[in-house]
Amino acid sequence: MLGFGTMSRSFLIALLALAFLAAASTGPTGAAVIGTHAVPSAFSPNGDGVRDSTMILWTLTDSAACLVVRVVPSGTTLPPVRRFYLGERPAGVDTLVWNGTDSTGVLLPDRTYNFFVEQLPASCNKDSILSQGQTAVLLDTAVPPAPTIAHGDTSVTRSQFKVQGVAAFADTVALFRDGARFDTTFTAPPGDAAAAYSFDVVLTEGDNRFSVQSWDRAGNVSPQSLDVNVFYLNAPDISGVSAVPATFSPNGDGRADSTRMRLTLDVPTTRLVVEARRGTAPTPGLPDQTEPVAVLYDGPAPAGAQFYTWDGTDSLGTTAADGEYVLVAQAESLLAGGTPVQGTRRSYARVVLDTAPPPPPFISPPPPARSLSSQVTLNVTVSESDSLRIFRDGFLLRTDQVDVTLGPSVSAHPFPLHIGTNLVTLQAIDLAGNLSVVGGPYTVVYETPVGFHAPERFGKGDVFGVNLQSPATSIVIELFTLRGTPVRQLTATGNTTHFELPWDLKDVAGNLVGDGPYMARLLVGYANGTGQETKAAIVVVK
Amino acid sequence: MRRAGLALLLLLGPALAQAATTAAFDRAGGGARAAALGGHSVVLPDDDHALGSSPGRLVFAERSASAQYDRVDPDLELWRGRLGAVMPLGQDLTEPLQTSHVSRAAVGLALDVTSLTLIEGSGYREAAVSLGGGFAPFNILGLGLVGRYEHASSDVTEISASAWGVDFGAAVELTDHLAAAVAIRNALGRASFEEGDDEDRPAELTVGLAAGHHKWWQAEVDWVIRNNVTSALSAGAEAHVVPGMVDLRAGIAREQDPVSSRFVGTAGAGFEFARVHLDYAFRADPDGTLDAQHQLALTARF
Repeated sequence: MLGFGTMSRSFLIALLALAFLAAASTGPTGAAVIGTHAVPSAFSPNGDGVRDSTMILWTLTDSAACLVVRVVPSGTTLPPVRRFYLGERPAGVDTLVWNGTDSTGVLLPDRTYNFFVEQLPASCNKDSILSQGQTAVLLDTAVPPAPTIAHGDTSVTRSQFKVQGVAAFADTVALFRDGARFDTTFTAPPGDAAAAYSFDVVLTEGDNRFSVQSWDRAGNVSPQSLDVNVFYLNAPDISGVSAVPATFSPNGDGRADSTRMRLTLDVPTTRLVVEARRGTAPTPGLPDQTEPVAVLYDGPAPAGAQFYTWDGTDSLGTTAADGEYVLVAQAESLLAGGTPVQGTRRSYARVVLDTAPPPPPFISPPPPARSLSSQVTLNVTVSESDSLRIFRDGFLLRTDQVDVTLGPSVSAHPFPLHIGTNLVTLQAIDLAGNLSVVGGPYTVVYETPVGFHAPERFGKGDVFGVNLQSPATSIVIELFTLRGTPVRQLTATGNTTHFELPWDLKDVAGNLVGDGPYMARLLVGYANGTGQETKAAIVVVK
Repeated sequence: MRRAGLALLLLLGPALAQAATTAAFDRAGGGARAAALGGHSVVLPDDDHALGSSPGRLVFAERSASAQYDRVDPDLELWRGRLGAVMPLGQDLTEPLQTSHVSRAAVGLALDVTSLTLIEGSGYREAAVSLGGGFAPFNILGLGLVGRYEHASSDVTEISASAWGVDFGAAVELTDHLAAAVAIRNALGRASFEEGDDEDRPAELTVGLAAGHHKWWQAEVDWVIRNNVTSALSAGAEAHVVPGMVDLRAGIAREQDPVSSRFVGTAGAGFEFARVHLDYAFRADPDGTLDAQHQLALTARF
């Protein structure tokens, strides 16, 4: 028991000694120098007020008993050119400002210098560095040469312009326009003997004087370059060229009898020539082989949108032959000096002159002579047309768009019927507005005889019709195969004597049914609770 | 083995098809007796009606000719008619004490007609000519194949269709009183309406098992697969009330479609006078819109 107590006491003493040592190790000698850097990292101590000194910054994690900063030329083993004894320093961010001189106050030569921030013991014994931080600083007092502009005085006819050149040993270039600082950009590669710069500018009409000045990283400013003058003359440009309608028919029917060319001039021109020419616009780079037909305009024109109409006649007033034409516009250009030159750049708008009416439309197969549905679908064949007029009993019902094809094309058009005899006539219209002769007539008699009705050959879009003598409230049609398999149920409600129930030829699962005969069981429900059942059969052919 | 697998794939290929199949030319075969036994019997047919339901049974059929009339739905004037005959050929393979009769080969011919009136009063007709043959490699197994050409027409001139189909079948006598058969109706085939799409036929696989050749009774159960799903399960029994003269029959079928199912009851009777059979069947299917169907068949065996 005694032995154990002696051992415990010895162990306690040892623990206390260790705790003391640990506490001692966390004193001033435990600090570290971290985050050493310089702001700015390049400077020019030339007394011009711009970056004349640099500040070295570091952080001490704890107070330091002795801190020394050494300045050593980079890449050498020379002794320090400057040594700062800072002594005891508190924890936290610490700084030192250097103006580029040595300890005697003499400005040091241009080059990169390394800064070593060293924490020493309290004795400031330089052989016992406890921790160290390092950074580099460029001392640069050399002024970069004046930057050059790649071109001399010049004249242009486009407002978009690029001012570019070389700013040797510079990092930044400022552009001066008419003496005022206008823009700034970086060079690439920065600080290089061939460092290039470029400015995109929009010129104003007349003189535009540009000069440039550069800076290097240390803040040394180059002389400003001499002015370079860029004279901008705004020559007329034609844009937004179109012809509407692109296809026209000068036949005096009041529909698309002329076409109108639209163009936009960005500035006034002393001479604008607009012509109608036969042929097609040339491929860029190839000669224009169109033949002149008529001059639509020849004279000065103001800036802005212009419209010129062609009625399809040539210079003698004779209507030109059907075919392809171009409406051509050409604006007189001006040299930079203002000397007028005949326009060489042509702007084209294609037009088609077409006075031939399209073939008359026809319905194939013909519509049913008798319909039990209030609507039939007309399968109309048209050629060389873009729209179709549908008439009922001689009155225009509506105009439908159709696909424009040179050959015959078939399109489906629903046609609503009124009870009794419906007279269907059609008329096609081509892109030029030419009207075909009237197609038809076709006669469809819409009847609603009492009973359960449907097309016996039942196709897509067909309906079951139920016509009753007294109003019913519900209609159910159950469809079966001939073997009795249920296929689909159609329902309708209301309070009327006439019901139409379409069947999309899908079964209850949503799949299209196969062609063939189907049975339909009609269940009619009346408001008084009575009902009526009828059976019928149809043949589906999709 | 690989060839057998390929053959099975070819046989079942149409049955696995999921595309829309034609609804035309779709009728139950087998005659009035099969109809009374649930409507899907493929094992018990023993006359020329095997041509329409179970080609594998052709070699087990006696020489016979038949005429049949089905009154399906008087509201639609929907009726069916059939004439058929089968002729055994070659060696008689029947072993002494074998309960069934089997020939080395057999051929059969049948004409089917369906007629109904369409919604606006036009007539619509379907006609089919079937020619088939059977072969028995040995005395308990029958293999059969039936080819069919079908045509539909109507008083409405634009309704016209044609189709062809091929059926396969196999039947086996497992014991003296137990037999099985498998039949694939429309294993191959196409149908097309004038100006319509060319469509597949609905292939139908039927597997049946029957207990037969008992003095007082026979019975059969059948499983029908159509479009890769079960379309019917049926069972039927025949009681020889006066053996050799009068039979009474009854059956039940659970008809299934993709979204519903319904039970269809059947009943019938058979009478035999001097090798002439008169078979009657009644089929009630109110949930399938065919309330009461009557089938009558007259068969002569010679």
